[in-house]
Amino acid sequence: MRTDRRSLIAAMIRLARRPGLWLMVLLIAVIFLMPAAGPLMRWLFPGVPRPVYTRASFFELTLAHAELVAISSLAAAVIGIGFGIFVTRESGREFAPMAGAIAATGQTFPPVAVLALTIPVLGYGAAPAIAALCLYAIFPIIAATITGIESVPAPTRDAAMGMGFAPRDILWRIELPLAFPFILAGLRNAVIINIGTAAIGSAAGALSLGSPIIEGLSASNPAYVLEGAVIVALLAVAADRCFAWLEDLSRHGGLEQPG
Amino acid sequence: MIELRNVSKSFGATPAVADFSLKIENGAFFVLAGPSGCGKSTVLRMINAMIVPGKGQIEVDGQDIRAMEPEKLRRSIGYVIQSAGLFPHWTAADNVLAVPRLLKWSPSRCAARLDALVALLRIDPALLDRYPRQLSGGQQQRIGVARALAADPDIVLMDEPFAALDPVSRAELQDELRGIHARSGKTIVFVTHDMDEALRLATGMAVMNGGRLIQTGSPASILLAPVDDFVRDFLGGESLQLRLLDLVPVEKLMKPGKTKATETIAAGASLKNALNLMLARRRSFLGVEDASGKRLGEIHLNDIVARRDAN
Repeated sequence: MRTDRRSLIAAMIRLARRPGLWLMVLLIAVIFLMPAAGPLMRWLFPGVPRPVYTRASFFELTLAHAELVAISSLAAAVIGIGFGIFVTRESGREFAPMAGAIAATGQTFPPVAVLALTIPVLGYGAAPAIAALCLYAIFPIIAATITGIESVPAPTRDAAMGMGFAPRDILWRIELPLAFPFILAGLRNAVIINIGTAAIGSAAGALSLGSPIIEGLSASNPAYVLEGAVIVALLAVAADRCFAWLEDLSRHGGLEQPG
Repeated sequence: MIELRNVSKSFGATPAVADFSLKIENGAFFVLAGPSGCGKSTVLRMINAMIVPGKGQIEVDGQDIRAMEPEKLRRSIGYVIQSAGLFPHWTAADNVLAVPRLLKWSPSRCAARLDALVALLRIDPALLDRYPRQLSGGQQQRIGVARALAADPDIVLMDEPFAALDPVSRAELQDELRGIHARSGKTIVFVTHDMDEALRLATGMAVMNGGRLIQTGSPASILLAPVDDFVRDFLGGESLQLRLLDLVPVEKLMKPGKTKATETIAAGASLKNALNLMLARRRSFLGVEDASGKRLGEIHLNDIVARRDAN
């Protein structure tokens, strides 16, 4: 009994030491306690008539925001990893320099411009936001996938082929597992960027944590802007911790043993 | 049997192998030797269809390899490369069992085979759960050889497998491999640019230069009668006679009978070892003894100098 209690306490201490956990708690607390932040906002911004954004709950906004990021990142992952695999195959190798060039210039294209260009095609709402975010996230994922697959040592690939691994076996059993840490890092980048960028989606009428920010900007209400921005920032840091934890897990899970 | 008939291969405009014909008998330890860039690795990699010849025909056990599915062919032939090429994200045991698992062997059959290989190659079982980067170069290549033998192939292809190892690990693995070959009767095709290694291991060998086959035969027959200056130089030029001594065991020149010699040498040692010992101990003759220490006779410096090759 005593050892049970001791190990339970030890486990709780270990858990309490995880900064990611505290960040999660802080994020949830901020989301639900924001409506009570009126006095604070009034103190920070004395001239503001309505100190707290009330058109939608912050929980609703966060959920919608996360949904935009999740859908667009997932689509970008499927397309980006798929394209990265394609250009590293024998048949797609000639497209690799093109992919590199597009990836490099693609990221310099401002997301607002992408948004503006997609609205005429997809209309207002979540669709153009998802399209813009997806387009923006694809490039780091393609680059990471190519880097990851190209990091596989040539002798490793040669040995696999010589032992009778089919091209499909080489991809699934050798290249993708070895490229996984790189791909995960690319996804981490893409998701973090998307969490920040998704706020712009509200300019196209999508519900997101950008809604209070956009409305705050047009109504000269800095309290709204601050409320949206604080949660966006916390969400990005929390997602970053999640990815760090995933990377740890994949490293200790046998993919790459510390030497 | 492996047979290559009039095989040619060019990479772009550069010919790598030109009109190459060769027969490798079953059970041979066949060494393809030659300077770097002579096309020996290309020949090796054409046998398991890693490289497809531009012209000519390759048969393995009487079957044209073009008629076979490349993956199936390769799974039936062991393959070892210089840097071992172990899969960095798999443990040593998983690496060894790569081909049996591709062939969908049952877990119990895999486990039994792993035990047999650990014994065969004298692998420390504690290494099996380690990842390649936790192993030394010698340990990695030991695992690499075990991996090539895992599915018990009749043919094993080895591309300079020991070139990157330190001399001690290299000698150990050469001995191990020679023993395995003698006991198993497998056909081994072995690429090297190291003449000492070639002579130590080969039952048959081919010397290549510039993509062509220059000379083929037993190591002794090539050493005794190199066809041209290139082969002579490649075999060691000045020290060719010393290399020849390396191939002949002491017992071949031994005079049987009683001996009063104070220094002795094993009957299975080479004439080169005997000569070395004579020089080191300043003796003109040595006693010869068998593995149990029983004296069999003696060997004289004059007989080594005056010998007509007993091959």
